[in-house]
Amino acid sequence: MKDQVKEIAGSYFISVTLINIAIFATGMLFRPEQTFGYEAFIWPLLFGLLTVIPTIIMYSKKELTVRQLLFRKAIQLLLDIVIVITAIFGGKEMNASTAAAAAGVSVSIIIVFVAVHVIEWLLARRTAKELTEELAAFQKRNSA
Amino acid sequence: MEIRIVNIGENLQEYIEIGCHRTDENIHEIVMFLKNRQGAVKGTKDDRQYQLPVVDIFYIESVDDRTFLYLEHDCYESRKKLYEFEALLASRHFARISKSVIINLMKIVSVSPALNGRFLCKLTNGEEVIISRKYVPEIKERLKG
Repeated sequence: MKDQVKEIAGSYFISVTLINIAIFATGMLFRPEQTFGYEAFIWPLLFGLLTVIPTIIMYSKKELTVRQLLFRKAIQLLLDIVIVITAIFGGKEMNASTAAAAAGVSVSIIIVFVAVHVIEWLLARRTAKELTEELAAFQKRNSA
Repeated sequence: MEIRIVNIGENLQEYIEIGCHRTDENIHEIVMFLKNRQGAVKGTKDDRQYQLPVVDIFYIESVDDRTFLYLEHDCYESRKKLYEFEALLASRHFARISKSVIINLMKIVSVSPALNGRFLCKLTNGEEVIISRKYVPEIKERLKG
C-alpha cells in the first residue's frame, strides 16, 4: 500500500508540472486573451487529481504481461481524457470553437500522459544504471 | 599429480587453479568438493537428491507454496521455505528482490528498467528476473555493506 501511494504520488507531481505546461500551451493557442484570478493556480492540482483516479483503479500488484499492461494503459488514457473533458466542457454548449478546444485538450492529455511515462522511465533508467554500477563494485569486492 | 601451493600477496585475490589434460569426472568432483566447502543446500530433481553448492545457485523462487532453486541450466526443488533460505543465506551474497524471489547478487550482469516501475536483472546465464521497486532500497543497502 505504501509503495502504491509513493508510486502514484510521484506520478501525480510529474503530471501536475506537465499539466501546467499543457495549460499554458493550449491557452496560448486557443484563448490567449483570457485572464484568470488566483483560482487558476488550483486547476493543475485538480486535473492532476482527476487523472490519478484511473491510475488508482487500474493499479495492479500482479506482474502484468506487456500486452496486459499496454491494454490497461490505453484504458487509463481513455478514462483520463473522458474525465478531464467532462470536467472542463461538461454542461457547456458544443460548437466548433468548443470542439476544437476539446480536441486540443485531448491532444495535450495524450502528450502529458506519454511524457509522464517517459520521465518515469528515464528516472528508472538512472536508478538501474546506479544499481548496475553498485553491483559491479560489489562483485569485484567479493569475487573469490 | 603434483600439488602446488603458492603464497600470494594480501592485495591479490585468492584462487585455485587446476592444471589438467582434460576436465573429466575427477576434476568435476574436485570442483564440486571445493564449491561445497563454501556451503551447499539439498535439492531434488527427478526424485533424486543433490547437494547444490550455494555459489552455483542463481536464484530461489517460491511458486504456489513450493520452493525452486535455479542453477545455470537446471532447476531443483527444495523442502525449505523461501524465508528459511533468506535467513540461511543472509550472510552470503543473496538478496530478496521480490515477494517470491531471492537472488545471488554475484550472478547479475546488469539491471534495466522494466515497464510499470519494476526492474529487470539479467543474469550471467542470460535469464531475466524481475526486481520489485519495493526491494530496491534494501538491495542498495546490501550492496554497500
